[in-house]
Amino acid sequence: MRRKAFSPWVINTVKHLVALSSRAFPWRATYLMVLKALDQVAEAYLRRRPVVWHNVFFPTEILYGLRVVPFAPEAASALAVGLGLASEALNAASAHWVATDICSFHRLAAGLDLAGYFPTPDAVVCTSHLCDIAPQSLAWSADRHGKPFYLLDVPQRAKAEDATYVARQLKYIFYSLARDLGLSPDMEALKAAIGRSNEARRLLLEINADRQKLPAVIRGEEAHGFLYLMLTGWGADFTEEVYRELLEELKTRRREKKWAASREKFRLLWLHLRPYYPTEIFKILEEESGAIVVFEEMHHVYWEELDLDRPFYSLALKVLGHQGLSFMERRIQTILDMVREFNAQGVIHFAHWGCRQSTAGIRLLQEALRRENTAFLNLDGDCIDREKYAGGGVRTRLEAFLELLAASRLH
Amino acid sequence: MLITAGLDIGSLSTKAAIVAEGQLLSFCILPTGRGGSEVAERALEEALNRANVKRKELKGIVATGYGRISIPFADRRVTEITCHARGAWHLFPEVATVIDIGGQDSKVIRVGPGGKVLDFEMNEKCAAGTGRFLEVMARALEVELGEMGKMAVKARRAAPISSTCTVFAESEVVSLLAEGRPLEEILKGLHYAVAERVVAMAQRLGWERPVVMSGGVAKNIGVVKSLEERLGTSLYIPAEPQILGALGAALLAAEEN
Repeated sequence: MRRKAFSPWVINTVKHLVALSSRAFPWRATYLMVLKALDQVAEAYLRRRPVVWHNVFFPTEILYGLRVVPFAPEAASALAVGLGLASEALNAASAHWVATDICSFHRLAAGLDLAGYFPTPDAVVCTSHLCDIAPQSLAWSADRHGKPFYLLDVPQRAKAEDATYVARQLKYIFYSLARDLGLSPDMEALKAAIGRSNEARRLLLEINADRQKLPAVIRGEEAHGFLYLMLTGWGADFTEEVYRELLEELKTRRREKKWAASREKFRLLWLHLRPYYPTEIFKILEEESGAIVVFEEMHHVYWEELDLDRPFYSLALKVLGHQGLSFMERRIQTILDMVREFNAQGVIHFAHWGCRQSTAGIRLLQEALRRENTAFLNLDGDCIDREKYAGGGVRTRLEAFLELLAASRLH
Repeated sequence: MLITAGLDIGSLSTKAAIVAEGQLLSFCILPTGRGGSEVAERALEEALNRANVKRKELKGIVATGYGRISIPFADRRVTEITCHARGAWHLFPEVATVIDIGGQDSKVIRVGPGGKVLDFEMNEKCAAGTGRFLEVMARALEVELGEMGKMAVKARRAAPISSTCTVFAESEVVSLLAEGRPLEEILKGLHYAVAERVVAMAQRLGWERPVVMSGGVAKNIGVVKSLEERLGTSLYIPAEPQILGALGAALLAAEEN
């Protein structure tokens, strides 16, 4: 029933309402991104083209190259939290034995699908790297809907010779999806998607370079929203469009001296994701204390430009290039570089419940940052499930962290 | 004379301290109850009376603790982490680590020169490792809260308490009683459970000697002994461990001036 509620009329009405409220968005690029995302969601529900579910680490260039509609249940979960659907959906998941100690993005995604909120997939793809629950979670989704499931097996050690192994699988998935969905595997369309991905990457690198400058122009809370593109939009035309708009706005605001805070007291680096329900975290940091989150680890461009003539191989290198793969030293070095490049005095890691890939090596990271005299705060919580959020404790942790930074500066 | 006040509004008790020229003049501890500024106001007035100081003589008030944001008459609000470090350093200038176990949370703080916070750890959103855990267990075992520590140290062995969850530990304790385990052994096991939790935080932080303990739980000899045993060091316990945060707050108020 709920899937049927997403009629063209309903979707168009929502889009018109959003289109009329452009002033509610702090950045034109955010407004543009929301409109484009709504278009994509509409396409997924209206099913005019095949819908392929994917996890957020799957190289979406493959999907845009096939001209299917990508749909990321993890990203949709974050959106559903904002729409107030989490409680009902988490209960639905719980009724189906979805354990509470797994990542709540996947717990909620399962619940949303079971409750009838998600568009039906025609196929499901997933990578094995970083997120340990994603393959099980998405394989179950494919099974529930009786659709084909393809797993991209990514070796943990990410050695150079593994690129061929990953590239072969990507090629197999590309052609298999085309066959399963009755599409013609068009290499030119794939190359076009790769070209768009390269252009978006170039723009994001420019955006990141601008964010390295002092003082900050965009607040971390605002910048976090653009992670939607990072996790779902590689190969799409709108990603390029939104990044171009954002870059233009950053430059204009810098020229006009419209800073993120009237007085930037501290610069912080944010690791992993943030809670998607309302919290005081960014109010405490950015509004009350002038501590601006100047960069998010998730916005790091970890791959080289893709080779149009070797699409599968270069996408394999992209997948294997993620800082979270291989030994912990790789992620630590990447973070230390970010601290230096963005002039960050402190690092906050949001330890999302059930996320082993991000939280398991925190001790090593803490030690490395200590050696560099960089303050570190590990903030326990859950991006999705607000039951695990303790407002008073979070305020004390954040304020104490800021006091620590202030004292370090005095000494 | 520079006279300042510190207010520490905790979950169970509200503390006020009056300091003049770096010396503690008086203090007052009241139950927080429903909290709010009213209790803080009363604690402050009582502490001022005891010190024979008039309110208008105060040059500054710093509020700390969970209720710090609800004190409109405070000049400044500082977290209890910074205040405990400052208070501990005032009493024990050689302090390197502070363990604070309060009513609803526990913290481990690494302290540097001048009482500066180098790093800290707090317990998660959970009563394990806090005064509340002991309070619930005292009720379940029908033991006076003030007596449970003394009884625990009498036991030769500790009953194993496998759960650190307050709710599960309560049912575990009831089962142990039904099995006929001596009360003292169960109490020792409970104190070990609290200590284990706090020691894990201290280890995450890379604690160093000397260690000062603050907070109401520092009055519980059972927890103190368990921590000393697990850490392999003696703890420095202030004469009034509950007021360390308020003392630190008052000292910070003086530094502002």
